[in-house]
Amino acid sequence: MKNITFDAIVVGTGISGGWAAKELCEKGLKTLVLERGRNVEHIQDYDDMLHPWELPYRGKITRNDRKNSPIQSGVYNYNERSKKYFVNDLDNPYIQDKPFEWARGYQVGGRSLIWGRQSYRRSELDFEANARDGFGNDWPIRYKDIEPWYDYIEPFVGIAGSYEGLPHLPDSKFQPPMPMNCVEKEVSRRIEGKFKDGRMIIHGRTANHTQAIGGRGPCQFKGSCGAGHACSFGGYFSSNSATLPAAAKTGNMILRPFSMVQEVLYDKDTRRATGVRVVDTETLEQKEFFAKIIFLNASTLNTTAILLNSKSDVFPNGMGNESEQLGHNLMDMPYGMGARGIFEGCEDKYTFGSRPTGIFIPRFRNLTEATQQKDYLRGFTYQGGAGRGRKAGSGFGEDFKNSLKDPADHWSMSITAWAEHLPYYENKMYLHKEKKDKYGMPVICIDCEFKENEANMVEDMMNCAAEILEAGGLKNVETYNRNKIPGSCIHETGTARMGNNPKTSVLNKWNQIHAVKNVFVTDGSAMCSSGTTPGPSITYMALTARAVDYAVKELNRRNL
Amino acid sequence: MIKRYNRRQFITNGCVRLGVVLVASGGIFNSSCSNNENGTPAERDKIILFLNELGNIIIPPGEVPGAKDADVGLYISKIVADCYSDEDQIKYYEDIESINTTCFNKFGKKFLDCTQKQKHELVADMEIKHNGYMNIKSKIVSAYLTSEIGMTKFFKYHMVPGYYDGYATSPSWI
Repeated sequence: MKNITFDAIVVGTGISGGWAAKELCEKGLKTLVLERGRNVEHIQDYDDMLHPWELPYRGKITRNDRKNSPIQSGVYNYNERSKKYFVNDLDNPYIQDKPFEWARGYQVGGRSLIWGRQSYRRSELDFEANARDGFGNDWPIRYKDIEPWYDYIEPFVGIAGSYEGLPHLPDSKFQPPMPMNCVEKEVSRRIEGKFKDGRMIIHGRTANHTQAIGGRGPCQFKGSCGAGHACSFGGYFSSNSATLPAAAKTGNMILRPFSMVQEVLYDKDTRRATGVRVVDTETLEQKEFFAKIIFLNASTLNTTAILLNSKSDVFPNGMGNESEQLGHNLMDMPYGMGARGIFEGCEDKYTFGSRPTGIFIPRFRNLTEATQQKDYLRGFTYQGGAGRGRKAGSGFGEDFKNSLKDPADHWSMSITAWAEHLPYYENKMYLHKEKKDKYGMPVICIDCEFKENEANMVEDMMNCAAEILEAGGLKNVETYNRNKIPGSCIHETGTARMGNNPKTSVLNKWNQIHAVKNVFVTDGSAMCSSGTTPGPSITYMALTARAVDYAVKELNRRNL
Repeated sequence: MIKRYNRRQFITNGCVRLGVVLVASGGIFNSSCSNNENGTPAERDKIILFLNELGNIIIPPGEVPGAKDADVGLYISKIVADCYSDEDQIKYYEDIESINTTCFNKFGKKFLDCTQKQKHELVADMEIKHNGYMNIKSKIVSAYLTSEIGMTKFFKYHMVPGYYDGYATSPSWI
């Protein structure tokens, strides 16, 4: 493959890399798609159809797992079956200047195999937020710029949700929502109109399909996606189920697994990138590949590491880092604060099937003058749901055995908050000066924390959750805070932010590096703010499709 | 009993001998300390048998097979050896030992040597108050319910439900 020049190179095969591959290939570009991990074939490499009792540990994490992956094994959906989609932490070290849980999946499909699938558009409020309160830099785009691209990607993604017409939570192009259960329905009815600030319960919006899209889906409600097991029915969107097969179908994609990009190559005469330097992760051999345009989609921290490691006379501090913002403004999202209670009623009702989503409560703080908070900026949303499990029986013998089938006396319901993390220059990642991993790549150091604004929201998130449940008639309501550390939301963003000013940002409004126009960055690193609402992935997807469209037009205009 | 301060030492010695009380009572593990931290195969087999017999008192066979048919002992031994932390392993062996000691104090013999009636009596006692029994019981219950028998014969199993119903009129597992 050496010396072959491709039209395009895509680095990474996760949720944004898959879209870059699909769009570039469908526009006729010969595209080399590089993935540092092994291949994972849709369906044939999945274990979701094994019965739980067929697994030696029936899902449990072993001592060896905890030893080899001390960080990954703490991720919520890491288990015996899903662990093959998470990295070995010993082989892939990083340094935590402050505690930061970095979930990683190095394989074809990346973390799109194990993602949370909740999907919410950013609103005008999100794009204006930085300009309004001065934290971070102004987004170079507004909702109208991205709206057609949400419209474009969503029917292919396949998002189940309900049309609500809320300005602060724009509707997607939805498939029918997944139904609420009897308690969720009743609680949402009871809180209707009870809160002046408009708190309401709507359907969770999820990239699980209630209608088939080509050969994908619909969802069979077997619960394997939430547990990180992938889905042989293609019931949810992943690169493996959707974008990569579409890219492959064009005949324009060459997918090369075991190819870790360490550097973007640069030609100072043309002031363009020429290609990438790759280390084969099986043989440790170095290779170079060349292309007219390069899309970096290696995930926020790894994309930024590649740029920081792409040093030259022109870019002594890393490619595109004249602003010295590269690696800075790292955000995640604080989450895990909420409330739970029991519901009296619906005792003759139960649930059937494992629904891969729940209910959602849109933002209601700092939307208007009337909802302005004294103690903090921006806001939060809730996800949750109601359910009914089994009773904890007592005793022993035949009666006890039979009692193990008894349903719990009551339904219970909980809601948990996800909040905005402001961009702070001091929250950052950088490359260690000496330490390298076994592939020769400098080790990433992470120095990130939640600060005052995030801390000031915590109590309000717990109290509002309790108020909502109490208004919904739940009893024995109690609040909780899971004290999650940064990173554990797996929404890390912001380390190569967009902006209009090359002096204060890395990328322009088309996700191009200001100084290197043929390099596009369209993963989470491009974000200027975390947004108040979670489910950031569809924003990466929309930005990717938009950037590819622009890149190909620029190529045709001979501007790249 | 093993005291807190020497727990670490206990595991690093690689010994499943369960303290002086066990040795005095003959225990179910009456061999001496081995170099394998999970015990000799014979010791492991005895623990498996113990868990299965205790399991059958708690979840007896009936219309649906019970804990012993589901071989709860084998599965519990496996996850204890391969999944539990050092601390949890020690606690587990202490709990088994504690049950055995209670048994020896009550009937002057090992649990496995007791009659069915005596085993029932012992479990009835321990249900009221016992250090360790509840812990072992919960492992037995969970091992049973996650076994093939538990999931498919005791409960109704729906590998591919196909739809969601939030107004179902009966529990999905019955």
